[in-house]
Amino acid sequence: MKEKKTISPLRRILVNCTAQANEYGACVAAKVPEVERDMCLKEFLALKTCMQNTLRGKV
Amino acid sequence: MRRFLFSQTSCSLLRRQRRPKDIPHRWFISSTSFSTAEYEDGDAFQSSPSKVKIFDRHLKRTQRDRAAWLLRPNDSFVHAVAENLVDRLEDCKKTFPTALCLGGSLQAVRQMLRGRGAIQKFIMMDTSYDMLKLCKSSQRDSDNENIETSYVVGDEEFLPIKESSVDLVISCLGLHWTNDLPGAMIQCKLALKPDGLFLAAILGGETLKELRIACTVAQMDREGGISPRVSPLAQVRDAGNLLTRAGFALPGVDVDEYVVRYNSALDLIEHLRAMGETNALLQRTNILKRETALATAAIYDSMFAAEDGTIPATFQHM
Repeated sequence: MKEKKTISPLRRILVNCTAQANEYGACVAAKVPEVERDMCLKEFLALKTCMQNTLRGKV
Repeated sequence: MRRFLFSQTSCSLLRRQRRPKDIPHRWFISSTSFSTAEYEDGDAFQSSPSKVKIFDRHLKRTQRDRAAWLLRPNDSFVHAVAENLVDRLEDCKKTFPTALCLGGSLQAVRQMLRGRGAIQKFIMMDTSYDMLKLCKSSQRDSDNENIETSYVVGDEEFLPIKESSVDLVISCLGLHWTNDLPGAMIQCKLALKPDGLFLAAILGGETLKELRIACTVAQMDREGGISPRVSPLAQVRDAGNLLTRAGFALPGVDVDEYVVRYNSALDLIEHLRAMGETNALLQRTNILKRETALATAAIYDSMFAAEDGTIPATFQHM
């Protein structure tokens, strides 16, 4: 039972990086029937840098 | 919500083979008749001699323990399911003095019961000890004090209930985690008196299809392969076969679909965790990379989001 609301890192990331997440999601959703590895790499890298920034300390 | 509604009339098969003496002899005869039935049809569901393990029961028990702490007492979804299930009791004219409740959402069932079906003796059974402790402590607050309740820790696949001893078996969202669903249902039938009732609600094949799709796509993109994240669930068309195969006389199946909206994929996962429904497949990979989780959330949002930013999740009950 959580007495205080501990916000999990993933939730913080999703809140901070909404723009990149939306771009990445749109990219994948557009190509949905044929999914291959590292299909939307550029968008995902943008999301990943945002994630690392969030985890490093709210840049 | 599909409910398995069975009424087992006094089995003429048993009567024909009954010797005037011992019960153990009759038990032996009835079990052989069931096992030959198993060998005859070889359809998609695994027959009990092969004992295929799909789910990790120990892990499921740990998850149920955690759910006992996390589940809010007024969880609307679970209560809606239980209410729907218990409503079925009012369709039958019979009274059920003894009832057995198998795990899943025990507390919700008891709260919804409120005197329907004239139940006098209630046996609650669950694999998780913590869940039973929770039910016991909340019994003092509820108003069902005239019902004598007993609590048993047991596995749905190995029912510790004497044969032909209960009038009613209820199982709300518990049976879709059994390794051997036909076997569990057969054991329920054996525990029932002749002309007893079996009511169950399990999740069907369409459940969480958005989550399944999002997980698969994300994992394909990030890692290039897929591993099972959502457990195999019974299909609508197989439900009737299951019932007849277990030997119930009047099977009835209903399907119901709930679409629940969440603010984000994380909320969905938290809710599943609180209900004790998270992944317990034996074939699961324990590793979920942070990137893959992030990708799944992003894809879920983009593919299935509604206009107000919430995401839907389908739960199909039968």
